[in-house]
Amino acid sequence: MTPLLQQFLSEARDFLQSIGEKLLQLEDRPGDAELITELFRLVHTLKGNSGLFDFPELSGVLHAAEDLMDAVRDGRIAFARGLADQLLETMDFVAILIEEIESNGVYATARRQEAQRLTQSLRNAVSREETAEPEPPAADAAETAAPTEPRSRALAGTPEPERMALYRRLAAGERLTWAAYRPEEECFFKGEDPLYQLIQAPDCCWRAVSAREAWPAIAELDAYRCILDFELITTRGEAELLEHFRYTQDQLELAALRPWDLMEPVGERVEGPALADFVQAARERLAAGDREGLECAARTLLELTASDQRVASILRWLLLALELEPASVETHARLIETLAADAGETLASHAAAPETGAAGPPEDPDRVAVQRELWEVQREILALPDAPDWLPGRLRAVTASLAGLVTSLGREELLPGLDAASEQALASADAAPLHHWMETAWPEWGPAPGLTSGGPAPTALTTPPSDDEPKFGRRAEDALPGPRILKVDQGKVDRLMGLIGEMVVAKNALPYLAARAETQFGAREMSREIKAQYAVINRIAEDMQDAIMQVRMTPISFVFQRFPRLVRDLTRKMGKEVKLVMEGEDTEADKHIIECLTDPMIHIVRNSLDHGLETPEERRGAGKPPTGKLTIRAVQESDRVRIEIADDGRGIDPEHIRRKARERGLIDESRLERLSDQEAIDLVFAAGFSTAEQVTDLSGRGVGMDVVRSAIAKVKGTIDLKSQPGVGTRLRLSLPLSMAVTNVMIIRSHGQQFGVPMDDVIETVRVDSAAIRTIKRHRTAVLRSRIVPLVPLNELLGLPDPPRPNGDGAYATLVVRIGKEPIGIMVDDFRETVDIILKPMAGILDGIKGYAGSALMGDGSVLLVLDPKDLLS
Amino acid sequence: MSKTILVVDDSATMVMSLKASLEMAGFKVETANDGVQAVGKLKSGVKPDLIITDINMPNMGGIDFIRAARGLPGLRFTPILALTTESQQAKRDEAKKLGATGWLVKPVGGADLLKVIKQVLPGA
Amino acid sequence: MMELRKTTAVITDLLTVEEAETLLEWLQKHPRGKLDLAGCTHLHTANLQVLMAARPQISAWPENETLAAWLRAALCSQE
Repeated sequence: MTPLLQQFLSEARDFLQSIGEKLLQLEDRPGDAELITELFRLVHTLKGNSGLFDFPELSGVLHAAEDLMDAVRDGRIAFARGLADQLLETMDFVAILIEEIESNGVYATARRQEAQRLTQSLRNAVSREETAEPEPPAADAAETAAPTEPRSRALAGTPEPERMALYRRLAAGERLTWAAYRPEEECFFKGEDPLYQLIQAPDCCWRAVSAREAWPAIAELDAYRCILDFELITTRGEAELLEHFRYTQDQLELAALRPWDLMEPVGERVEGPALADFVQAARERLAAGDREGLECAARTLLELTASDQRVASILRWLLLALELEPASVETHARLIETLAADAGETLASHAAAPETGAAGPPEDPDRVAVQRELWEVQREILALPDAPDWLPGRLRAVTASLAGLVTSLGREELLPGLDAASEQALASADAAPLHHWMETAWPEWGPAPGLTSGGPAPTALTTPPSDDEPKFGRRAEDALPGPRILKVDQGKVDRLMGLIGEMVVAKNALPYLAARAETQFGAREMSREIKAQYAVINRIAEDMQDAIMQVRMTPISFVFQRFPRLVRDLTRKMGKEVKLVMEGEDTEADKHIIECLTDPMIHIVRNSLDHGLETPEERRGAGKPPTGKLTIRAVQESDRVRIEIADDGRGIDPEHIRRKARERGLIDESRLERLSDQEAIDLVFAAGFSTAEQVTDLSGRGVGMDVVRSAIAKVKGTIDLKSQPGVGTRLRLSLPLSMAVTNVMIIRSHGQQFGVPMDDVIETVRVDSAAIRTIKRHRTAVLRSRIVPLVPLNELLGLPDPPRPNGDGAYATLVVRIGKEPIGIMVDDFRETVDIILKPMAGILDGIKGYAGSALMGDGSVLLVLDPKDLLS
Repeated sequence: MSKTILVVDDSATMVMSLKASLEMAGFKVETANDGVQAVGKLKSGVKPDLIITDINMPNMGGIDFIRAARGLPGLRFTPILALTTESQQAKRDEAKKLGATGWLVKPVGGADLLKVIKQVLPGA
Repeated sequence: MMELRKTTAVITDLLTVEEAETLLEWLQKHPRGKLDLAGCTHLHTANLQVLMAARPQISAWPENETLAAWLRAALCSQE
């Protein structure tokens, strides 16, 4: 998995969490504009990020959700409960995709259908309120295609031979586009450099730069108010130019270049009677189709005219047009009418002339945006998941739309390719050929729009850019506002913790070294120095350990954050009304402990909602307010975290528990009689106990409070239950803040050293061999006036040797508590207690019963740490 | 000398993605998580040759940031690209009006990104 | 970058938008100043505008053909 994907997944989870929270808040404050904006932002960003990867279904669902939120934000749709349900469901689905990507790199293919369903239902939610779909694209195609008439003064000022060269290209069938770019006066202050854009414009064959107003005296020039107009002619199409100038399209004027745009006559205007005669004759010959006669007459007149006269210029153009485009009567007529105008005749046809071309409304950037959008829509339609029934219809519709678009863009030459692709798509019942056509026919409108052509970029710089800006004499780090949070993969923190753990242990070798320096080498001075260094390293190591513990501290909100949703969903399902109150979400504990809390707490909350809190009717009947209250509270108490989950429901009836316990034979009759109410209530923690009258699908899943208790016990936590019938129930969990350092006692048995966590040890005693009694083959001893069973450790570990007594014939015995009963474990000897960093067994050792883990000792040896509870169970 | 680009986005994923692409292309990259942080960086002497900013951000969004950046000394003429999605035409126009040079459309890939940067940043 | 000599401003590499003001000042002080653009790879539009208003003599055009074409179009037209 790439770091980027990892980052995306981790961030996505945060986003999903926030989205969920915001949705719930929005239910309480449906009109909160700020909340809606924030919600939109979150969905929007998540969708944007998803686009960095190839997860089309994920992006698709998020896109639909974004559109829905957008509609809500714009007030097109009112936010309602149904909408919240839909969005919550969507985010749950996204969370599933995220989890699957996390573990498998991809999500299951079966998710596609679900994604399609969700996307559709989100889209339906939008379209239910909105009907305005874009019109069929073909309808307005004709209008769009019409270019404007180039209005170029600069072109007229270009030398005639240059314009004639361009005309030759046009006549040869080349498509040329004329563009005028008129940048805004303040464009430099938007970081624009119009000349740089123009230099990069592809395939320019003519260019002009002019000032919009007369130049002021040089002393008064404002270098930063742009008054330049640019024009160019290129072999590229309009679409490509629009894409190139996409940031300043509104300042761009485009038109297909036509022959008469170039045919601006130049020279001195001289009237003569011969001209009127020529015009008359030329009109007749043109009407008669006598091209040769026309040419001949023109050539004769040209020979009689001084070449610097305007008439000569028009005649040169006419001759060229007759040569290059003999069939283009319109061009010829225009030129003859120009001569006629010079001859002083008034001709109506002159005014009408421009209309004969395909005139139309000016090219409108909005229109281009619409076309572009339609193009995208077709792409999206093609990308819809396959639905065989609808596919042919869909393909035909897309083909028709694309054909209309292509026509409207003046690119009819693409139509045959489109038809071929369409046929192929229909034949194979697959959208791919059309998709492919879209990519290749119009690459500039590809899925990730970028530039169509880089153009000739300036060569690389060797000189540093100007450095004349004030620097305030400060360094960049000095003023970075806002919290600075670093997200780190947990594995890295664990590794750091492991290393620090080793460091803590490794430094413990120094006192040994100091002792050896003194005793073996007699270097007392050296010994003292080592001890001094040890003190320093020891302090740093402890600080490091403390620091890394802080890094691992996670706020309990990690667990709490899911309760609002859980409570909302469950109460709605059960027809109950419950107000959830949470306090102390910022209370922190070690990440591992927080994580282990999640499942037990969910179970407790479910129990409370299911069994504890009553329906509104029941509550009214009991004289309580119809809305129940569930309070979840966390506080830190010295080195422990206390969590309380309290409800004001019906409470636990001890009599009910006694009855159930009797029915299930969990406890014998005589003890049951002697149980206090509290002890009776505690029976809910007994294995196989379930108090529900009927098993609901919510909490009756065969998991009881016994599982909750053992899960809590695993992280060295305790659980305490208090309940008052009719008033409510309160569960109190107490957990350590951190479990990274374990205090163990080192013991010896069978010639080996083992560690035993001190938390498990009640006391250590030496039992005289004479005090051991054997009852039914079990060794026992009386300790503190209780009969305690004794088990040799070797026996538990499957080692053949019997336990070894010490010189006085006494056995070293660790008394541990399993449940409520003490048991003595006989070992060969006790040693000191040490603080160690317990590493859980990894790899194949993980499955071995009876061990809590291992630790590295100061002298480099490895200590195996036993788990007495596991050993004895 | 390599050009410096300031990337402003609240999404760590987006920042990471852009930073990687840009650094691979030889740019020096500065980052900020929102407009406020970005203004802080600019005020503390970071002088980017180009700014790429997200639009939707908490604290200070992209539109406000562009406005603020244009008011800072030395940033009058700096090219600024707004990071938008295909649906945000209105935002693009607004950003453009307030001083953005252009925009990028998410998702922004390596080659396209560099192409756009080359187009607005002479000498890049 | 710009090296301002007594009679000639020698432009090399990139002439930035910020430098337009310096160029303008120099041209104001040296009405007969010449410009050597041979080593210029690009100049910002603001500089082009200054050149169009001041019309100094260009002693050498840029080697970059596209840039030269645009500059000639701006500075050599009859207008």
